[in-house]
Amino acid sequence: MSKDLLTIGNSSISSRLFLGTGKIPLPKMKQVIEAAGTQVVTVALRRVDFDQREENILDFIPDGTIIMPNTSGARTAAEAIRLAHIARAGGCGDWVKIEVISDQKYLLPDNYETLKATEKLVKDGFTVLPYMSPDLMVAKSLEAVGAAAVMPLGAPIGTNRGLKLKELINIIIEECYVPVIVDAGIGRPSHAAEAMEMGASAVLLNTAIATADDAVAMARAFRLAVESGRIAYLAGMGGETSYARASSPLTGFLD
Amino acid sequence: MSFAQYMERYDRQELWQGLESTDSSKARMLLAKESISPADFLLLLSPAAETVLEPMAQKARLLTIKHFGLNILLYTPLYLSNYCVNHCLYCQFHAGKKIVREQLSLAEVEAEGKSIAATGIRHLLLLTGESCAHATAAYLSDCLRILRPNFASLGLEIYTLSVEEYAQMVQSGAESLTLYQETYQQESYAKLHLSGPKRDYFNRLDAAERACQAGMRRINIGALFGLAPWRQEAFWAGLHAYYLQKQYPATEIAISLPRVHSSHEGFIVPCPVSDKELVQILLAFRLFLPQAGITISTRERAQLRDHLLPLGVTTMSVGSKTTVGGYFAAEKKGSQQFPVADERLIGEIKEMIRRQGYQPVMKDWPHGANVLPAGGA
Amino acid sequence: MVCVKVNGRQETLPENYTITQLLSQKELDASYVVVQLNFEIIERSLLSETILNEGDQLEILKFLGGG
Repeated sequence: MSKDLLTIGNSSISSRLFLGTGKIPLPKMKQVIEAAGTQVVTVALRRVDFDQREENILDFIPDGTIIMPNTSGARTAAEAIRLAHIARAGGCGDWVKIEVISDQKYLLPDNYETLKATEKLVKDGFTVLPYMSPDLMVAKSLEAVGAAAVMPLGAPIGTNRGLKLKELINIIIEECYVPVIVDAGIGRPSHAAEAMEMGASAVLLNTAIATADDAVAMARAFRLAVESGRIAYLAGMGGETSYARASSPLTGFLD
Repeated sequence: MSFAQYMERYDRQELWQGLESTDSSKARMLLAKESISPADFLLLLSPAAETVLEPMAQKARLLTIKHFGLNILLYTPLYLSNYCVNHCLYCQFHAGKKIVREQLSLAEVEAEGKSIAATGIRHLLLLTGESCAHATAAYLSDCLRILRPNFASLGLEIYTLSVEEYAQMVQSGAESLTLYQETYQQESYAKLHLSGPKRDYFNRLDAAERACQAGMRRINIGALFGLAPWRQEAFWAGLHAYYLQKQYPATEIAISLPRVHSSHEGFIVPCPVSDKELVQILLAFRLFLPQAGITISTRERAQLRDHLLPLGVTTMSVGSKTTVGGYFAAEKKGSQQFPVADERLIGEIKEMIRRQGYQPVMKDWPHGANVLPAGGA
Repeated sequence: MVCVKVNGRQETLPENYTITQLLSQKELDASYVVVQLNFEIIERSLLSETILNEGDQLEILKFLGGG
């Protein structure tokens, strides 16, 4: 197989496993990232807490890794836009994961505000990867305003429930030109493999690795699952159904 | 991105190599797949698929029933004008032909419309040649407004327009646009279109997209089979539909497979397409584009149309006249644009459809009532 | 003395105090944080020239783990 690279913005990357860094203990960070083979990690932005001495997460991320700040905490497009600009001033490049969550019960993304933020940030020169509820028309709109990828959720964040929204994600994969990255809900390596078999360009996950008893081993398991799903997708899977059934021939008139 | 740009993503040499595949076991395997990619579609159009036409047909029939039910939508064409400034070698109305030129007056349009509506037809397709002195956008708008009350759906098959003009047509009541690229091969296109505005290949290629942008509800595209090697033509036409479906999810995309026949006036079809090849194109379209409507017109003879019906067809023309007018006023009968091969009347067609276990459909949505078409949740 | 709001907390600082001085008082490495003064992002190169005035609102942010 020739090099199977994923192109997003101006970057071409070979790892299709994006990693959220939340809840991963800093001393383990480097090992987890390496075991996952990840080239893109997400980070969040928060106020410095003066009462607590904290180390700097950026010191624990291997050089050359693309750092994608998210806009978590934003409840409106305006807040997400502000956070994105602050993140860029922090020197992490111009990638940004738009995450606008107004619903505080299920933490579902607000597609309308997400679209507004994406449109503005693309104009401001960011490489924008919006996290979204899987809705075809919103995905097409995000694509139209210049999103570098779209990131539909597989299941509500942190639930580890897998690809509950498979049918909708499938449609987005079929209909979008930009890469589709399944974000949120992936709880097991088999979920990740399933997403990749469907034709997702990558998966982004965090909780499933961060909360495993052995995060490093789990990172490796996900790496293999993502690779395996990707290879299966590229290999072209045979279908399951055989509908050939005895009925009168439809093309007999041609003989 | 335009479709012209999208076409450039494909390496022609690689494509045409793919179209020569003879690996029929690979083609057979495709039949088990849930969705068919453009590369798979290529294989379905290649010689590799020739030996699997029957299983393709079985799958095509089931897919069509799944997405469209056992329904065949009927429509009738009405030629408004045969004035034309284009010189398209295969067309009996081209500018160089010495034929009687006619254009229906608005009163005649109304009378023709009433005659057609009296047969029960509710989907009407309006056709004109291209001549800015005759069938102008304003004239077409007037025709649409006059015909509107008697029909559920008015379609246009006319020269290309701008986005604004298409929007004007939608405003006046046009629901669909039929626009064939004729041939997707630029060289053949240049050879077949000697003069007139239609010579502009890219303008025509972009026009379907302009209509989508203008809010046209349905777009029906296709190639005129016979003008250039059919496998390539079918690939581009299918890809064009695929592209439009992706790019304009709000527009219903349909595809036709009109076949041009040699005329007694000397046009020789450069790349004839046999019945069997037509079937392969139809089946490949259906498998690649499960949601696209597929039209078979009265260009094809009755017996063949009956056999094609269960292979993926969703729409058929009926009672067609290809002269200007011709339904109300028989004396208007000038030359035909192309010979009608299936001259059965609407009653016979309906009966044939029912005999095959399908239902003839006269209208599948109510225009202008601000009511959602059937099929909504 | 001037009164400044830093990350939502009132702080009393000496006159002509720069942001760089404040950061070192807080033992923060300037290259790890992003500073917003009255909702304007202050470029790192300007931190040592920017003097805090009475009523200023300062936000000091940093990256941390997130998904």
